[in-house]
Amino acid sequence: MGHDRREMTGITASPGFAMGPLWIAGAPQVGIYVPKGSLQREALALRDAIQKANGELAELHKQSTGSAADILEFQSAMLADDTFYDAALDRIGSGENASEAWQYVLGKEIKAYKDSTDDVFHARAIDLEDIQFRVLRALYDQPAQSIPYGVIVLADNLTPTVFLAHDWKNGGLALTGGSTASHVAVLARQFSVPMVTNVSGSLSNLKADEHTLLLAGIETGKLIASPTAADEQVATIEAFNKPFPFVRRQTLLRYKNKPIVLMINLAHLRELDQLDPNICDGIGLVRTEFLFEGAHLQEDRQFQAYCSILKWANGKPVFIRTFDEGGDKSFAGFANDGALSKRRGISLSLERPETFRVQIRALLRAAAFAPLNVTLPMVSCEAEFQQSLALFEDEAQRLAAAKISYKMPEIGIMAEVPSVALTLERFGKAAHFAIGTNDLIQYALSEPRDAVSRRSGIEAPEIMALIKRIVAVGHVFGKPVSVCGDAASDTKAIAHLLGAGITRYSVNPPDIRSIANAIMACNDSTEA
Amino acid sequence: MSQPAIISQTVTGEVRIIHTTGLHARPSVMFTRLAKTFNAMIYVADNAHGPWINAKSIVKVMGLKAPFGTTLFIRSEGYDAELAVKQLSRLVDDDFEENETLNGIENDNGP
Repeated sequence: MGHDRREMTGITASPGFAMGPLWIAGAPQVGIYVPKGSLQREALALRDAIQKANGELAELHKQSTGSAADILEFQSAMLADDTFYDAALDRIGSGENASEAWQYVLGKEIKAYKDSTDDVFHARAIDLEDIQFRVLRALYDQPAQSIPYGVIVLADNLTPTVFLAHDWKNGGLALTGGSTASHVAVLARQFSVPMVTNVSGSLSNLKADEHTLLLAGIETGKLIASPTAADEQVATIEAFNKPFPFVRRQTLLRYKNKPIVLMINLAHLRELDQLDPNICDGIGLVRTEFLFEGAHLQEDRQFQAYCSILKWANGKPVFIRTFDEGGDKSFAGFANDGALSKRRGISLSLERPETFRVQIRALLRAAAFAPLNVTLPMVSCEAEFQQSLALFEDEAQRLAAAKISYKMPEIGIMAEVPSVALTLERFGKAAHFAIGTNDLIQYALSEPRDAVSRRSGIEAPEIMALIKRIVAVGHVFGKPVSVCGDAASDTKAIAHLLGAGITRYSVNPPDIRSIANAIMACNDSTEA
Repeated sequence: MSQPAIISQTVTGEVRIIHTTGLHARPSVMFTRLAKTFNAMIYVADNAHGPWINAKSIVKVMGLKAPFGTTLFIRSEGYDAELAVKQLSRLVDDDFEENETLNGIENDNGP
């Protein structure tokens, strides 16, 4: 949009790349303080604000696992400690209001951390700023700052809880300050959010909303404002392909002498332009609900999209999952009537057969182009599977009658609802089983869907028992079993999944290298 | 111990921090959480002569900013002071291994 290309460099804290409008974060604002009228009221207002802030942290903590949970627990413990409150009370006693007292006490502590020459302690200053601001926000009764979706965030620094409150899919983070040892950096790595710290260069002429490329490469991090097409090409190739030693993959990716199949998850067609098919063994999961951005009723557009995916895969297996929307995974898209449904996945598709039939036709037609596997999401009972098969048969007959070429795809199911995992032997007709770890964990352990991460839930004995059961049934029926939830993209979970006998994984493209490395490491340890 | 200590005794100990990033966030959380399970007053310092800070306050413990290799001095007074010093030292010496919560539960239910 008329801007010149500018390149700034920094240090990669979490590798990957992201493109989108630039969003420049300002300093947190709390507004004007209204004095409470007496020393006692100031003291009470501060106490209430601390309690409210701690309540918020406790709530966030409940929804978190892994590093996120540790960080929130730390902040919560700091806030529950009366040391800060007592110090602030002294200052209130000598005439300051609650806001002044809190800012002074925390400000002093923050400075002490910033003055630390130890990287790790220096990086904790931002946690204290987080705590300081959360209490101030409660004291001023201000809502949390929210970041728009899909942007490249540019900030001096970002607090862990602001990070955790944002959905980083398709976004990235560039900090002019910060540190790769910070809690935010730990979180960015946990959630595979591209992040570059210590960005320097021509920052002053950056424009809000300017198209920006954040390239967090292995060697250096770059923030490129108004990138050229060549930048984007180079960036994506570098970020995705170069780090992965795909040439040696076939011989390296084994576990206890069994070959491991490593596929990718796909949510947007444009991802394919940037990927070399040789880095993977196919596409294990196409999240079709994200593919069409609301154009769910355009059969030809779907057909073309499926064909282009099959073309890219060039003979490697492709598993396309039908729309998985509704319930607690709602967004504008599925049905054009705008009505909300509590149903989710296949259950919603069966409730809205007019939309589902469009997808079925597109899939049947695409299957004639190249072999295709279809996965039905959130199947919770046999009837849903049978009804879906009947719809496929019905549409196949209609296409045949209309002399449109089609082929019946191989139809399998997601094994992600615990009831199905427990009765999987009833699904002998399914061509394959794909374990969706996110939902399996959510429904088996009753965890909230929007918990920032359920990745470590995989280790729960209940979940491992369900997964082992699915593997056993798959083995008896001779049906492939794969894992395509976030757990497959989590290097720590991989050891557990390999141990349970999972040999097929579908992971998010940016994670393919770290997962491949993790598999190799597990194999190393079993052979050692 | 031959007889229960009625009059509070002072127990001291010292342990070297082998955690690579020092007594930072998570170790501090674990350290203070364990310290709070004891009745005894517990103080720590990064110097044999103090200043001594409250081992149950995470703000204070983090505030020590004790890096890798620091020798942590622990001082405790109270009927369970000996156990406190022993367990806190072990936590640091075990590099803040995760199993401390599980052990706690098992101990509570044990014989």
